Amino acid sequence: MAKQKKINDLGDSLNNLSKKIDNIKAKKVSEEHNNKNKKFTGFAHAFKIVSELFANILVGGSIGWTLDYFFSTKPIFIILFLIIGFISGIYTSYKSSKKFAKF
Amino acid sequence: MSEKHSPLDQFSINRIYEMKIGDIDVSLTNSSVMMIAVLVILNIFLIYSTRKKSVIPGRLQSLAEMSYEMIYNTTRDNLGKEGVRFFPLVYSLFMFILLCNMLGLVPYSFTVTSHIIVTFALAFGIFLLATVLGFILHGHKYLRLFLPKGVPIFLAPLLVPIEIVSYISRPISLAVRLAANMMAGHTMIKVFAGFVVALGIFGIAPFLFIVLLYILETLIAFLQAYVFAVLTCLYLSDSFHPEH
Repeated sequence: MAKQKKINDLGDSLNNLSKKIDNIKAKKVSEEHNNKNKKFTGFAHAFKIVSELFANILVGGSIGWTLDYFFSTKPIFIILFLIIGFISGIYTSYKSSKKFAKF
Repeated sequence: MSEKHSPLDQFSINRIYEMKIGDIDVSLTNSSVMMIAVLVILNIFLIYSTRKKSVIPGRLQSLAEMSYEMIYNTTRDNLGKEGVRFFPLVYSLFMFILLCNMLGLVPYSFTVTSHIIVTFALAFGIFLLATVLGFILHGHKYLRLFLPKGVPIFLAPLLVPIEIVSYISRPISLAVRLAANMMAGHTMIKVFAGFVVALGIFGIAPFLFIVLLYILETLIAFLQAYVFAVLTCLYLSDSFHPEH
């Protein structure tokens, strides 16, 4: 009886140990991964935000121009959609920079 | 200075072999020759470097394995387990853009990715894939992407156009970023190369600057290819989980 208990205890502590090792391993992997990602993201993020700002204004302007062209209501839609494009540019770059850094 | 030495001359497309299908011009240009060269080099490199399949990789094999692992991890982290089936697409895109950028840095070659139409074709393909995939996976619920949960309904007329514009601008920002980076870098190198000749003996200063610029350009060439791959993953992940 006593021997059986001893074996069970041993098994439990082995399980605990392997769990601990797994935890440490997982932590290490995720830390390594984070460090790897950090190397690139600063530079890359700057490019990402700038191009998002630019592209949103461009898309807004072209949607507005197209609507004006088809409904011949120059300059109403182009003004409206340029403003929307600008807002969405700020909004998108705010969203993507929020993922990157905590304000 | 003659026209041939303009800094923008390196981006001109020349027909090498003229072909026509009906009225459509399908001539072989220096751009398409570069693209074919990139694909051939890429295939030879990957097949040759992994031919031995040794446990302890040599230089070439570890280069191939490193690129594979890097993109595989990026894909898995961004798309999750079910998204790994898009890994071949992301890897091919990454390697193609990387090699286009890198080969563009070789003197007298042509940078395919400096033309916005090439990068836009790639980006628009991803955009179409992400949109179609989103509708296949979620049906009409995919439209929730334009109105996130927990937004008061009176904000919808303002927020929905903003979200739509920001959704449509994705391929354009992807394309513009890559093309503009490549074009700006190459133009700058050519402009400073002009200074080297014009300044005579003092040309050593811009010459040293070009050396530094080349290092930066190599970094940017890699970085832009990587960013393109990461953003492909991010946009595809939006079609897997549109709610956030």
